[in-house]
Amino acid sequence: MACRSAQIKILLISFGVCILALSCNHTPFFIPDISQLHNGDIILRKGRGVISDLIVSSINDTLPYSHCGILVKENNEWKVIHSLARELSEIDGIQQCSLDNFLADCDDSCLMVVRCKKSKADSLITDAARYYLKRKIPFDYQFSLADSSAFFCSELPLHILKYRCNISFNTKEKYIPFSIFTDTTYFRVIARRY
Amino acid sequence: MELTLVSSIFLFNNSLNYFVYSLNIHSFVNSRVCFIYKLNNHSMKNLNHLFLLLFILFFVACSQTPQRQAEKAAVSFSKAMYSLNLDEAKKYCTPDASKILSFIASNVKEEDLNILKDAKDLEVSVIESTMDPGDSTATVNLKISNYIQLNMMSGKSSIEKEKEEKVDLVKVNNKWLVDLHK
Repeated sequence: MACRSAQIKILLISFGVCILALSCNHTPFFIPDISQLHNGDIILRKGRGVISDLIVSSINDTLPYSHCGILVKENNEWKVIHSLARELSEIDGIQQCSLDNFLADCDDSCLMVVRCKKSKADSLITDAARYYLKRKIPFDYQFSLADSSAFFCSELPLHILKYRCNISFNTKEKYIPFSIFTDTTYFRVIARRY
Repeated sequence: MELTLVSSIFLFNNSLNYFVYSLNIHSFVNSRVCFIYKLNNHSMKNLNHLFLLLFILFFVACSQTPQRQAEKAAVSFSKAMYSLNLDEAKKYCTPDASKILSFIASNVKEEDLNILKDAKDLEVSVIESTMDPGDSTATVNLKISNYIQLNMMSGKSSIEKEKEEKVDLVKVNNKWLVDLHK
């Protein structure tokens, strides 16, 4: 009898351990493991507000992201170089903010970090991002990839990938969707929550 | 607010008293004055109470609760916004939210306005609303029908049947203002 109850206890404990192991297997998000981040990583998010919803519905992509930027480390702190319209921030176009600020407007469920697989892409992307930050490129209200006089958010990494890393994407759409950053030919997903 | 209400009721009550008293005294100047005065002294009290009650009921009926005011602001904002009357919508917004509306306005095309002309009437109704304990912020859930779904990129905007939308509001200078996120 005692043997039987001991067996039941062991069974229950094993069951509990299995449940715990399964729940831990779900990658906890993010701000997470900062040690995973790398210079030149591309960070994508969806905001919580009306503009994000409008962008997501306008793009009609398979992934619900609305904004992206490039991660750079400065003085041991992670920053994001990205492009925003002047109505949405104090600066028009390319600007830099802390990672915390970037994530402050983020919908918890939609965040991803990807890394370009190409060798030396990290330094190429970081240098170019800093270069465009210095040049104070304005926001592209036309959402056009045709010229580089102004950048909308994803235009910045796409432009850098095209002209610094020789990676270009051909799509029929005028606007290249965010899901392009999950193309495993060129990118590796470092962290993802969606 | 409560102090003003009590003071106005007090003043109203006193002036009513005076009015009724003077009416009685000047109307009945003959020998029955004393009797009527005694009689009216009792009925006047009742009358005063009745007027007071009516005044309070009138005041309560006319004034909106903060929750109703928040709902009204959310509905007015959404009606203006989905009619692409963004300048009107800005009147119901915080300054930061107005900037967001300016960004949306910069993406509204002539084509979008033409789509609106052919659309069915926009309908906005309140599903539910909640207030924070301090009554300084509120959230109103709305049902929006026949609304325009703007396309900010290269695609076409469209009229959609129905959706639910959450509108956050903050109370600034006793006025409910819509607070938009990016």
